[in-house]
Amino acid sequence: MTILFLFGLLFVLMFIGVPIAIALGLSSLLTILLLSDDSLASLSLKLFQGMEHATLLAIPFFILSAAFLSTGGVAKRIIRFAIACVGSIRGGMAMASVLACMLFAAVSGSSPATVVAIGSIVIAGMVATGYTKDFAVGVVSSAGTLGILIPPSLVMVVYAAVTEVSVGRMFMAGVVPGILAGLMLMGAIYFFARKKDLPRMKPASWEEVLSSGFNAIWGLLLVFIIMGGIYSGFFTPTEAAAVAAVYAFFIAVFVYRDMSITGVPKVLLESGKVTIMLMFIITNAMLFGHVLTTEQLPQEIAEAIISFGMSPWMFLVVVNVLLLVGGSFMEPSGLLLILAPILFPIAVELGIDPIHLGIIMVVNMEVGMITPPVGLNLFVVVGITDMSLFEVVKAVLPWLLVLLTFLIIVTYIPEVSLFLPNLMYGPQT
Amino acid sequence: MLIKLYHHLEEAIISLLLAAMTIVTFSQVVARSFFNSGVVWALELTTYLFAWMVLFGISYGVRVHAHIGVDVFVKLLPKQGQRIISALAILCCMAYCILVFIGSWNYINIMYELGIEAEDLPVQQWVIYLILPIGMTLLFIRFAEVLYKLIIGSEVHMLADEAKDILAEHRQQQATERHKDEKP
Repeated sequence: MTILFLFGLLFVLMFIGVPIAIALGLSSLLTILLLSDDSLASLSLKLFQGMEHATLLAIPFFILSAAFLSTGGVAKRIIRFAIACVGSIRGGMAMASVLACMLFAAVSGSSPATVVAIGSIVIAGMVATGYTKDFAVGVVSSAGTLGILIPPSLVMVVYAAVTEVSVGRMFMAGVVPGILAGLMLMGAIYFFARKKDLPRMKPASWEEVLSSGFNAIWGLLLVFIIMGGIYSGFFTPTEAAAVAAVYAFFIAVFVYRDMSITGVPKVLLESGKVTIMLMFIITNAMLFGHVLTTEQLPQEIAEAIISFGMSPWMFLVVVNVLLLVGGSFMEPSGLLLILAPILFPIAVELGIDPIHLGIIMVVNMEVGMITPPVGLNLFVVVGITDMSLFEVVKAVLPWLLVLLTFLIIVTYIPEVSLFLPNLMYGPQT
Repeated sequence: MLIKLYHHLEEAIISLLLAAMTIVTFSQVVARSFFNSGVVWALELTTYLFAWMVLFGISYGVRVHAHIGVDVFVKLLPKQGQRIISALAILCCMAYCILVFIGSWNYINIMYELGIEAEDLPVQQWVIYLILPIGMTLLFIRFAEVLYKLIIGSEVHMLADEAKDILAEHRQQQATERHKDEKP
């Protein structure tokens, strides 16, 4: 009854256009006030305590470092390097776009930002060298989704904070799937390129590979600072993110000179805005999660599922369907925050590794970014090309199939995600 | 005029809090790794700066349409229906502000009477929590402003359009780059 009230209220509030954060908070507050006996004072305090979570403190720093390095200048350097690396293969320009998306995604951590920065340069480039526009748009929109899977990734920090798993493990778990997804997209490109006889480019000289690599390395080093720092135990994830933010500022202003020092306040404000929006949702979602736990909902569902005789793989099918349907109507971070507190205890009960579940959720969100009606990547592509939403959806369709295949692989072969973190940190206990 | 001044102040406070957090955390890492020292209260200070930035900034988020939500269903309604539903949504948001304000005010009263200090910083806890009622008051005022605009009939939209934001930022960036290229 309580649960029905909680979810009923949440959905009504969300559908009449209340911001997700307030919909989560208000439905939790009213549920507790009307049907339970917690005090309003302790609930309000929860909103403040949401911010006292050490892992979440990494979020503003990651956003800040990405904001310094998500510039067109960095995108150009990465694209030049990517073309030098794989341009000479058949379909090379398209493969280079995928590689550039992967590298830029690693630095920026945002999918739509990757699509805009890389796409606005390479789509025109591909069309000029003889690719169809559909092909170019499809490649970039789908490769752009890798931003949330390749570490460092904001979505993973949020998942780690909500479910109390290690951020380092989560990041490591994204590496192999991220590379695999990139290779699958490149494989599909190669297949099309052979069939349609798409152009290849002149092989780049070693000097070009080296000099473009050297040019791009300052941005890419960011990833190594974060991953290396966390893995060696030299930094906590939060400290790594703060160091990355200072490093990114230094590179953007003094090394690349893409930005003058007078541009810094704007970057700070913009990053502050994104942080505020995200943290307001997170802290309200934690209040929501608190209500769920006090009502023992996840435990009840888990028991029902187990007594029903549902096997782990059947549960994962349900998870995938739930996330794919939800993901095509809602923003990824909001969906993750509502579903993670429910799905997580059930998965643990069924013996599914929490890290594996996290990667499954992230990949589902990637797919959600290129499925209508709320696929963010689709909208930004419409913005940077002159195609209609319908044309973009059609162009993306074949690549959506590749990502769905990838989702099935990640879901049913846990080793893809778990191999690297278990190798580096030892098995999860 | 005064409003414009407040807007600038609001933006400055958010930027400065974020910069302060970054610098405190970064210098803590430097102090620890190169000088083998550091201060105990650094983490607590960063956490409170963070909480202040977020809770203070929520109302700024309303002003710049940063908050995300689901608007596909509202958009299906006719114009008049959209206005009524939007008014209802804003009233719900205002109710939220009132509830959290009352809750946090009660809590602050308790803390004030107990007079407990924060763990590492020499500050009374009730002072730190003061940002909750302050943030909620600012948020309430912003929502009231949106509601007023809706009632007098101007075009109102509350939720963020993320795709539009990213694209606008991109265009601006390109414009400044072109500007830089022209000005050798």
